[in-house]
Amino acid sequence: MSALTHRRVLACRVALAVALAVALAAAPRIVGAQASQVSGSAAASISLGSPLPYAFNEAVVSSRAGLSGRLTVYGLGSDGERSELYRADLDYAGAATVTYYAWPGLDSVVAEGRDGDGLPFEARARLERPGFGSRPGAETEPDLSTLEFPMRRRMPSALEADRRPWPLALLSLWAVLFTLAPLARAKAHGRTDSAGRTGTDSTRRRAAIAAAVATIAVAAGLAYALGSTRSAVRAAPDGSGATLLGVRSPLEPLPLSSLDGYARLRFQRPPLVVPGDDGLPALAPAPFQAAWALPGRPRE
Amino acid sequence: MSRRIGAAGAAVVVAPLLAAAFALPGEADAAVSAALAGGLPLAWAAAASLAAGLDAAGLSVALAGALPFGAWTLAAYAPRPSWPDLIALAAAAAAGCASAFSIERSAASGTAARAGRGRARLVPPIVAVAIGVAVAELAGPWSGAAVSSLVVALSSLSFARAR
Repeated sequence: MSALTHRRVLACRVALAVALAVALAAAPRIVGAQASQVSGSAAASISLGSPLPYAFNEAVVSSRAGLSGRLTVYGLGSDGERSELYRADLDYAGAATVTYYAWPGLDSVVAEGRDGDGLPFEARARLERPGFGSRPGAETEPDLSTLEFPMRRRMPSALEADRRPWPLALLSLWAVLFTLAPLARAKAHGRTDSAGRTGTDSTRRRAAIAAAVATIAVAAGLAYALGSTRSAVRAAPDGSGATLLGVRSPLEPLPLSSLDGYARLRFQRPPLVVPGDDGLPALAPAPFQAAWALPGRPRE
Repeated sequence: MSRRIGAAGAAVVVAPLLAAAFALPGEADAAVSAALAGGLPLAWAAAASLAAGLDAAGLSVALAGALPFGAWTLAAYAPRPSWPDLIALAAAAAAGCASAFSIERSAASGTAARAGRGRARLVPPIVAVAIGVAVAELAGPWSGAAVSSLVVALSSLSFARAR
């Protein structure tokens, strides 16, 4: 073997060792981590304040030893259905303020988690029926509970996402360039053969490979950047005075501030709230769903 | 007998992907797994290469042509953050290219008696791509990228030894 080949083999061995080390480091993720179990239970409480139906409300979960790890809040409906309403992963906190969605059929709220010592707890609070679901002036507004959700295919077009032209333009350009590249390459080969070659074959090949890899990387990076979409709420006002919303957040959390212009919201299914990237409450990534809304300020 | 990719072959790879890009909705109602979103364009490129009986360079070009489509579908339909999945996808494509060239070189130099002929030579590289995407889905994108890097390193070692 030549000295050049020796160096290549050595470089490949180094690359192999690095890749092997990374793969071994990743192995525990493939096998799966075992969660530690702590026996016993801790005392904790949940304070609901004065919740309003068809709105996002706040509750405070606290424990004498603090809170740690995964905190989950469930809602139990009067029909016995259990819905996950809030989820957060805490390092350690003395108490946690959780934001949850309440609807008239919500019967009680249950918080599950671990206290600061790692002991599991469950705190439960019932919603006070008198007063929950009524407020001054509500009789003059459309009754959200009577409004029906249209089928997905029959929803107003205002709720649908606009087709964005730039990613499609880029992909079309890429497809054209990619299709024409073999023709251009064949022409260039013909010219090189007739004019005589300059430089070594390996140098030309390396330069061509580097240029191809760079072009592909740029095209893929641009396609990724242009293809990214933000979560969005789209509105279609209805003749009843209410507004039909299309809540689309399948890929990333949707900040609750997107719904600030609405005083009452009736979702198709109770949404899950999580802390967003900025720590503020946000709707967890979820499939598209519609919501009937009454314009106004929240907590009005 | 394996063939190089020409303009018609390149069009066969990217035209259906472009048509799908125009047909798909601008935003999805529900998220799609990263392996499905990013892996489908690569799977199409691999299937087209296999059907056309392309050589290692042809398979590499086909995978490269499908990569921007995979990047777009990842960004538009896979849960965030999906950029690590893009790296895993590129690494899986690189693993397919490297193993294809390694097998072709081994067959040419006679060091691999069972390298196979024609289309059979494309099967191991396509399996390498599939393994990279599958590990990324099951164990996370960085694990998938690591496994694909391992395949690239092994293939490069084999390629260098076969010179």
